[in-house]
Amino acid sequence: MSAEHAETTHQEHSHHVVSVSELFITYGALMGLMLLTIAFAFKDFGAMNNVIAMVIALIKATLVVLFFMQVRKGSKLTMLWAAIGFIWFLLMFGIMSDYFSRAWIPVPGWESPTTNQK
Amino acid sequence: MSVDAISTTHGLVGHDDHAHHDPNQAHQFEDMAQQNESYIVGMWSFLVTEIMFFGVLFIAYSLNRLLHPGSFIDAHRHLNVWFGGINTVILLTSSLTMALAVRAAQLQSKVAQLVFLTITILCAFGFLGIKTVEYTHKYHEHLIPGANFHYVSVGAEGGPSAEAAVNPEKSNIPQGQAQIFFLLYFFMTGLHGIHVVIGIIAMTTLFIMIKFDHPFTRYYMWVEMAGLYWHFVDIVWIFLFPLFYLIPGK
Repeated sequence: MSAEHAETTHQEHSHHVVSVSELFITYGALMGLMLLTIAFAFKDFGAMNNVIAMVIALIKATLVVLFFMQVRKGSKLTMLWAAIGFIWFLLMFGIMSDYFSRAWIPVPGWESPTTNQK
Repeated sequence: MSVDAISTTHGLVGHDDHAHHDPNQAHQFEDMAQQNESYIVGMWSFLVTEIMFFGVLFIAYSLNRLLHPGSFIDAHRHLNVWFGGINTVILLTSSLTMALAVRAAQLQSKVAQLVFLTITILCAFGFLGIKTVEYTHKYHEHLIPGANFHYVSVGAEGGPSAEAAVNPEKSNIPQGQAQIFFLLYFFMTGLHGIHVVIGIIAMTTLFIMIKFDHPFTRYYMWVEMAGLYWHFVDIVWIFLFPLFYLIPGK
């Protein structure tokens, strides 16, 4: 708590000074999650492998945004901006539905192995 | 004049009165909290455009991987998990030291800022060094997309699979699909690498300014801005690493 006290007595109150222990705990969690994602990659969960890898990556990205980029202590406007980036990306991902809603035109030499066997 | 009139009616401090102001405060802001928020939201606006910039590439990746899953699994075996893993450790560490540099800037500790910026810059160079080794291997293996691209399938153990080594044309992975994988690999990691280089330039500039006590560096926000950018670069790699190096499958 002494660190917290030092922060409040610091001359400038307009910004929050991040605590060192918070940064190191975040770092440890990121490292652990990285080892976890490598370990899972060597096991076969079928289609779930991709889901697991992306969920872990999302958790890591969220940790970086909240603690390293200090959005956790940021203003509401900062939080909104950080969320907008992610939401807008998901909207853009909707473009994918267009590709899967129409027939594919085969290009010679670029077929998938399964179409070759037909 | 009308601006002054509005300020007065709102009971705000006129911009000629600097006596009680933080010396870092610019005229157009009411207080430091508003100024800090403006800088941070401004930087986040830039980062949102960066998410869009990288976003389309992630969509291109997803689309092609869904269309050619077998080729992506086969092609990704050319990438070394350990190089990718070490680079992940390096970038995560550099993000930690960058966050510590921001903290040092907030506390106006010159020595700590210089030390943590130096470690961050060294990590960035280490990352680029390993990437250079990887790119050089790909060049010798003819895996750079273009006229000399020649894909040979490797077995799950890492060595060339017996059939593919004898006759690459017998490989059931079309050259075009393997080339898409490596095109995306070089485009996305290359664009990320350019961002790392820009980060090195930004951090080196800050290092020099802090070293020689440039007046700008009395305001912690410049290091904070570089920090936000650097953490973004780290986040991009957090997604690139599993997508290219850790594709599971037989």
